[in-house]
Amino acid sequence: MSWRFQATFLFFIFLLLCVVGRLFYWQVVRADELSAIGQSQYGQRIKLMPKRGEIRTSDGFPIATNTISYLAFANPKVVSQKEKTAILLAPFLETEVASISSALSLNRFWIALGSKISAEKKESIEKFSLEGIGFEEQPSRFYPEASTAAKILGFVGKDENGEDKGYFGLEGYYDRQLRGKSGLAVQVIDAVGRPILARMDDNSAAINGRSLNLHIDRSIQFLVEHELKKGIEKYGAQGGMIGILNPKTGSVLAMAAFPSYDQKKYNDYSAEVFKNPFITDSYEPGSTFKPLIMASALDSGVVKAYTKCSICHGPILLGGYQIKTWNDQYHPNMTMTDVIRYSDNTGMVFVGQKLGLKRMLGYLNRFGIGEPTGIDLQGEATPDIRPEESWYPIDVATASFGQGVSVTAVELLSAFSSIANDGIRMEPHIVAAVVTPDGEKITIPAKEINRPISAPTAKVMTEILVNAVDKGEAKWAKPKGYRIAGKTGTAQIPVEGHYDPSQTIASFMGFAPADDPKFVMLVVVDRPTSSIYGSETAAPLFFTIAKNLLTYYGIGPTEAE
Amino acid sequence: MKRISVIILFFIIIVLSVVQVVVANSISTTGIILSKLHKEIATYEKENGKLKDEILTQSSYTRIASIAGELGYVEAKSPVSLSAPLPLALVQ
Repeated sequence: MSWRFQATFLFFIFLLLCVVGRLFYWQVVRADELSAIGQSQYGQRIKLMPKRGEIRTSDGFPIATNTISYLAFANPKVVSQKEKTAILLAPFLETEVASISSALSLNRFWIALGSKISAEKKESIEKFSLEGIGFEEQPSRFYPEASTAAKILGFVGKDENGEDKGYFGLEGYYDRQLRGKSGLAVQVIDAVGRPILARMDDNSAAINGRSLNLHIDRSIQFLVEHELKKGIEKYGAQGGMIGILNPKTGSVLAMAAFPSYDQKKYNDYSAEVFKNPFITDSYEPGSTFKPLIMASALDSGVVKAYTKCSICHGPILLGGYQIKTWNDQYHPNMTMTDVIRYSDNTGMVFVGQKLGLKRMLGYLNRFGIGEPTGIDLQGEATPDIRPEESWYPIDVATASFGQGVSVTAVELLSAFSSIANDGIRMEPHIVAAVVTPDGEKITIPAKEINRPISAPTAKVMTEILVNAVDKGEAKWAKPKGYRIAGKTGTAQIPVEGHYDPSQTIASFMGFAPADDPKFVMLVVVDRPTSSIYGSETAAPLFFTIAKNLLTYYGIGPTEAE
Repeated sequence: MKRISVIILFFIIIVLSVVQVVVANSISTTGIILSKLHKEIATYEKENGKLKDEILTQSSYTRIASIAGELGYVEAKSPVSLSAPLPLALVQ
C-alpha cells in the first residue's frame, strides 16, 4: 500500500473521528442544554400557582382572601431622568425619594422598586409613561377588615424558597390546607408563540388551597376589638386581651389582643408582636382562679355553699408568711358563697386546706390546667404544673387564691367554661369547617374533652358566681335585669422574686345569661394605671361587651331592676 | 379472506389518516382564537377580582363604622327591651 493511500485513509479516519467527537459534544456533553432550548422553542412550561384558600367568618365574609398586586421594577440603564422618576414614584411606593434614586443609579438591568403595589397605584404610575419602569403580577393576601383579628389570622410571608407560607395564627396552623399544590403545564406553541390547540399537554394541574369557615363572629370580633382599644386607653394599660367562647360547643366567637399589628406591613413590626398572648403568654390568674378551686372543693364534697369558714377572722400565718385579704377586712364565719363574693384569700386558704394537695392537683388536671387546650392556632404554650413532691403547705394556700400558679388565658377560659356547661369541658375551636376547592364542606364537630365537675356542682357554683356579681365589688357596672355569673381578678406581677403591688393584671371572667349561657368571656387588662383593680377596669369592660352581646343575641332582661 | 381483511385495514388506515389531516388542518388556526380567549378570560378574572375587592372593602365593618362616625351616628347606650315585662307585684 502506497504512502499516499495510507495518508488519505488516515485523513478520512481523522475526519470521521472529528464528526464522532462533534456528535458526542452535541448529543452527550450539551444534551440537556440543547434539549431545554428545543423544548422552549416547541412549547412553554408554565408553573401553575394554586390559589390560597380564603378564611371566612361565621357570616361567610372573607376576612382573608387573595388579590392581585404588582411588583414595580426598573431597568436603570433605560431610565434617563432618574431624579424626576424617583420624585414621581416615591409617594406611590411609600418610600423615600433617596432610596429610589440610589436604586436607579445602580449599574444593573433589573432592580425591584417595591412590591404589593395595588392596581390603582399601578394605573396611576403608568399614566406618567415613565421609561424603564415596569410591573409584574404578584398574587398577595388581602384583608378587607384591615388588621381586625390579626392575632387570630397570622400572616402570609415567604419561606426559604420564596414560596408563600403562613406564619402564626390560622395561616400558620392550617398552612398546608390553605396553600394548595402547584402544578405544571406544557403548552405547545407555533413559531410566533400562539398556542396550538391540537397539542395541549397538561402535565399536572394546580390544586387550589382549601378555605376555612370560622366560628368567629365578625360583629362580635369587631365589637370586642373596638371596646378593648377604648378600654386600654381609658385605663392607661400597657395592653389587654379578650376571648369569648360558646361554652356548649367550645366555639371561639372572638379573640383579640393589643398591641397588635397590620398583616399587610408585617415587616415593619418586631416578631414579639406577632404571637397571640391569649394562647402563648402565661400569667398568675389571681382571684379568677378561685372559682376553679371552689368548684373542686364543692364537687369533692369537702365543703358546701353554706359551710362556714372557721379561720377567716384575721390574717393567717403559714410557713413564716402572713396571708391577708386584698382590703385587709375580715368576715369571721362567712359562708363559701361569701368567700367568693368578698374574694377572700383567707377563705380560699380554708378551702385549699380542706381540699388537700392531692385532690387539688387531680381537679386542676381535670380542668386541663397545665395542658394545652388543643385550640387550632399556631403557638399555644402551656406552663407545667409543678410535680406533687415540690409543693409546700404555703404553695397549696397561695394556689387556692391564684398565686404561685401560672396559666394561659385560653387555658383558664376553657376550664371556667365547664362551669357554664353543666360541668363539661369542650375543646376550644376556631375553625368550624374546611371547604375543599370542589365545594365539599368538611365540618369539624364540637369535641367534648371531659367532665371535671358534676352538673349539680356546676349549678351551685353558677349561683355563687351570680351572687358575686350581684353583691361583689363590680356590682355597679353590671347591666340591670340580667343574671350574669362572674369573678373579678387582680393579680400582682412577680418581679425579681417579689410581688410589685403597683403593677397588676386586672381581669374579669364570666358568662351570661347565667341560666342558659350563650357566651363565656375573659377580659384581661395588663398593668392598668387608672386603677389597679379588676373590679374597676376589666369588670366594666366585661359588662359593656356583655350588654352589647345580650342585645346582639336578642336576650332581654329577666329580673326586676 | 385474509386478503380482504388486509384491504379493509388498509382503507381504514387511509380514511383515518385523511380524517386526522382534515381535523388538524381545520383546528390549526384556532390557536389564535384560543389565545384571544385566554387573554379575555384573564382580563375578566382581573376585573372580577377588582370588583370583589371593592365590594369587600366597601362592606367591611371597619369602613362602615368609620363612615357612620363621620355622619354623626352614635352608639345606642341603653337599648330598650320590649320582652318579658314583669308582673307589677314582683317589682320591689
